[in-house]
Amino acid sequence: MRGCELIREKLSAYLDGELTHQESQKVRAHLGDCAQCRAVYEDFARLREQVGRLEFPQPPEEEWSRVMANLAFKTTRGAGWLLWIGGAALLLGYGLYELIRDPTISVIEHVGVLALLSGSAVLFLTVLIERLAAYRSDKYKDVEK
Amino acid sequence: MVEPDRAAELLRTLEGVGRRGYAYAWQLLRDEQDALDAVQTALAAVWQHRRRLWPGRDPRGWFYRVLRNKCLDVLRRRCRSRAGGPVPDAADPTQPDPLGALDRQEQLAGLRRALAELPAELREVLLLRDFHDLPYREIAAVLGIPAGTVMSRLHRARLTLRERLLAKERPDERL
Repeated sequence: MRGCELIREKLSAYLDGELTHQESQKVRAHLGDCAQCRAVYEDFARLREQVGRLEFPQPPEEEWSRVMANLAFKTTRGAGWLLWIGGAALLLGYGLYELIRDPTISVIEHVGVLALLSGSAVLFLTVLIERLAAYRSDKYKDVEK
Repeated sequence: MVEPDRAAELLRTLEGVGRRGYAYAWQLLRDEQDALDAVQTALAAVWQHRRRLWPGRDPRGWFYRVLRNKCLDVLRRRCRSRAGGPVPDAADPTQPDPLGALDRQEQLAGLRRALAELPAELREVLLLRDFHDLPYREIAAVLGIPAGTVMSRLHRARLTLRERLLAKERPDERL
């Protein structure tokens, strides 16, 4: 029967709650009248339940703990870096300010603070460039939720 | 502290999603270490870009998409390393099933065999829906196909599975 064929094509989506309200009503009405289609529907429902209960391998516990710990550490590490960079920027900024303001500071101190500041700026720039390059080649960056 | 709370919540969610995802990776790759590596990479990618998920979005679709891409990368590498040899089906039913010893539920053995014999494209969509519990739109996004194709593949998968189970195991009665 053509009517049965049309309904059967929608049985899966009906089972999964993926039909519109109107379509669901049609399928429900047909299932009330047609024992053959109802049998197929019941088989589908049983199959879905059984596939959901299948067992597949679980990750080895020790390895899995390591994977999750690495993920958690990334957050802590990020916060640590933020604090470190903030503190370093504050101290270096203050050092530069004192260097300009205080005429009694010796040449050695001038050279030391300037070397620290220049070194930090170079390090910061190299990390920034490295990160930008990594971001450009990150194939998952355009994957949107 | 809103952000650490969200991070902790996402981490808990990813713990569950990752475990389930490991099964998906295994279903595609049939290798424990490759599956674990793929899951780890996918988790790290989702975690790295986690701000896109907030507030309160379900990370499963995104995670599965990244994970599938990673698994396909592994399969391509395997294919290349076989120097032009035949590409094995990720779940070739003729290969020994490493899970055989783990299968404690005898009544599901027939289903497992029938599932393994399904064409890969039908099996994958069926597992994503019935085992991984993803809605059609998420499956469509994971596989990069229209939702209508998901619907028709799923229907064909269930019909084929039903027919095979009826034919092989209980020829005189319904499933």
